[in-house]
Amino acid sequence: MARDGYKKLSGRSAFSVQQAYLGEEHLVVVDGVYQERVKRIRYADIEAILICPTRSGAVLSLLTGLGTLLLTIVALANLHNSSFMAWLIVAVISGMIFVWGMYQQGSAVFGVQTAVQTVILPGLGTKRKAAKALVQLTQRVEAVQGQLSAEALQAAHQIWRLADVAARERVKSTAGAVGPAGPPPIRQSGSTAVEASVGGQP
Amino acid sequence: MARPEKFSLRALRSVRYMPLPELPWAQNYGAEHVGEGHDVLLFPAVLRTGGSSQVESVVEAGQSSCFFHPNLAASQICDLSGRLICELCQTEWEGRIVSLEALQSAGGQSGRGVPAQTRIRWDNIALSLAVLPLLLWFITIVTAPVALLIVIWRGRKGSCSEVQRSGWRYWVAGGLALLQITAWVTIIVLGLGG
Repeated sequence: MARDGYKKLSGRSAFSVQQAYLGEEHLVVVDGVYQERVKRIRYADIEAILICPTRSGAVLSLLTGLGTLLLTIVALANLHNSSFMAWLIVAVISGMIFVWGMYQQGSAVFGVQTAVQTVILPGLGTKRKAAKALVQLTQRVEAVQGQLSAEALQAAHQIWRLADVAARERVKSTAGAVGPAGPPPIRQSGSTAVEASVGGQP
Repeated sequence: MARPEKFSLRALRSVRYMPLPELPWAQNYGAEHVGEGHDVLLFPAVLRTGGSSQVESVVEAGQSSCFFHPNLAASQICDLSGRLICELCQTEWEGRIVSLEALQSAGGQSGRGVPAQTRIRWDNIALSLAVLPLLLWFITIVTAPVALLIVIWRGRKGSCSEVQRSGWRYWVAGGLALLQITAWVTIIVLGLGG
């Protein structure tokens, strides 16, 4: 149960003890079992949320689905044997894992990008959890920053394109100023400054 | 690691970068840049230019330099320490511009400064001492009293976590530790009596 002012965004996963909470002004990422390390990301600093679907969920679902089918066939083949219940239990467990995987809609990686880092939240490793967290986190971030309009983004893209063109033009004009013969040759040894730097002397 | 472009997105499963999409919400974007499609949602902070550090070397005589980086120009005065600091050293804290060094020093003073970034989870330690040694039951004669001591010593202060409220771990650890101690006492008494 979270303290007042914090709402849980993601919990622990199979391979990570990291958890994330929505605070009033920060996204709080908590890691560690015996020593809790806390990282705070201000909503005002969050630049983007990224979700990358992965194939591991689909592979697991395929394997568990096939496993359920095979185990069910084996269980039915042993219907009159004492091992029937054991096979059936294993088939049911496999089936539950398969159904759970389908319910979670596959696996994904969820990340939050700021100007200095990209923080991945392992507890949001399924598409269903990631979609739910996206809505919750977006509400908090947009409450602080507002929404980014398509017009503002496209205007920024236009400015960057013009800046790129201008930079290329500058490079071309600078290269042209060197002359058809190319840049002047590097001074050969015999120059004090060149010898000092090559020799590594202070 | 600095981004190769000022406005770009880092892939989640590699160290490659992709340019910003044309729309604030883009699905399955970036496969041609980083090899995997991403669903991307952008916020206004991605277009912000003021936050990036623009460091300049000290080039003019008489220009103030940073206290921690003598070859960089100072751009602010730390509100905590009063030192001249550059763009790399400064950060915003509670609406004030402060240096990272002063912020860390302030965090060492009791009752002031930033909240601690790390905390010892005594509740998890007590619970682990009460549960894990059951695999090698004979060491519980040592670990059970230690777990109980931790519960008595730290349990009154409540949860150790900044975000978790409940102290149920202390209750479980204390209960298990008491059971183990009772079992050992019983074994010892019966052994002595026998």
